[in-house]
Amino acid sequence: MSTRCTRALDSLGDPRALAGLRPHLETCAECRAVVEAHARLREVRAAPLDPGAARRIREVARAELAASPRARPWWHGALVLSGVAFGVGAAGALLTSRANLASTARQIGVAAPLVGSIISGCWAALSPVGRRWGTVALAAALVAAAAVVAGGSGLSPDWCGGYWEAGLRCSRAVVTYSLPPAATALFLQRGAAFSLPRALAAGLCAGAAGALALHPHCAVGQPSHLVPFHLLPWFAVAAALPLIARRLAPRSFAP
Amino acid sequence: MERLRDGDAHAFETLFDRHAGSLHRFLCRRVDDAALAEDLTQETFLSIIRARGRYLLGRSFRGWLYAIASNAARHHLRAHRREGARLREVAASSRAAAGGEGASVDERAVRDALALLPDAQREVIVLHTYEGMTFAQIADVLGISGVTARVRGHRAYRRLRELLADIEEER
Repeated sequence: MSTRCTRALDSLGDPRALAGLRPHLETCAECRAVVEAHARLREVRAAPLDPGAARRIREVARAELAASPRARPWWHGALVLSGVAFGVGAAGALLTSRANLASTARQIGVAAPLVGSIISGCWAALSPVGRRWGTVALAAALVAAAAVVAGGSGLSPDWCGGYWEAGLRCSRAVVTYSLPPAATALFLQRGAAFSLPRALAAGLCAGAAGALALHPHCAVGQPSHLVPFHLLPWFAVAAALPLIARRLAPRSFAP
Repeated sequence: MERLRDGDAHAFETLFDRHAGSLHRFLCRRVDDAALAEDLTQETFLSIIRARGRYLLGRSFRGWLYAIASNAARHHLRAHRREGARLREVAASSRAAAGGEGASVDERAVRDALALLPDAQREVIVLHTYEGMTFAQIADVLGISGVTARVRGHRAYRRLRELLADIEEER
């Protein structure tokens, strides 16, 4: 589309502006088609709202307003989701056996980006401007994933347990711990129209909570264990959430 | 809107009186079915009430309203598309939609051509032509970039012209 084509498109419905573009319209068949189509659309009328239907809609809406006179701000849901995600992460980290032999500083170095991923994910999952925050949540999750691999979740390079046995145990733990925040996110997201960036952010947040809960009690620090059995389930949870959220009927179609 | 957030019923009445008629006309053209448009108008106002805590102060209320209505229409059209048979039912009922019976041959041709447009293109030109929104406003309503809105609009008008030519040739 040339600059003149863009100007013609922006001038639709403004006869004076279009008159100024006549030389371009005479030579550009595409723009002539656009102008003609726009003019023809004026022929379509729309039925007015039936007074009976208007009355019915007004009554239903009034009843809804009377049933919930106070509105909660959107960030209230984000706080609830953060509470559940951190609750799960903290419960996993504090209440289960601690097999991660890495230094405290190193463990904090891995846990901090996971906490950042949870916070940004919760915010992006429920923010009305989720698209912008979705990018932030994805970046935070990638940083946290890199920290998990680089920092390791244990100090047992000579691990001699079963590869699959240990791996499946960790995968199961990530998915299980991520279920409460995932369910909470799905419930809260029904308050708005489906949005892929928001649903993905919710999945990343739930998966990060699972990874945070698992982190202190995994004794296998090799990347060959961490990538398939820590990160893959985390991102699988993130990918599954949009698929589920898309199928749920929303309570509201607000952005 | 600020007053509605605090549960002020009078604020709701004002918003309803101001926007219900134009919103219904928009939805009529968007889904080409007067009965479905009434349901979606109700769905939109219920959404406003249920999600009023999501409204960001300083944002255009009209933009927010049309964003909700567009989401509701898209959701329902997708559900109808999934249901194959239901789609045909909607298409049939659309013939008898808003003013359908008294429509001129030209109006019917335009309405049929509009119905054949891909949904994403159709929503852009309905907002642009009938609601008088600029492409920047449309981008804000649909949560897409201004360039995408403009490209969709350009393609939609061009495709509409082709469809109209085909329909009129068949007649």
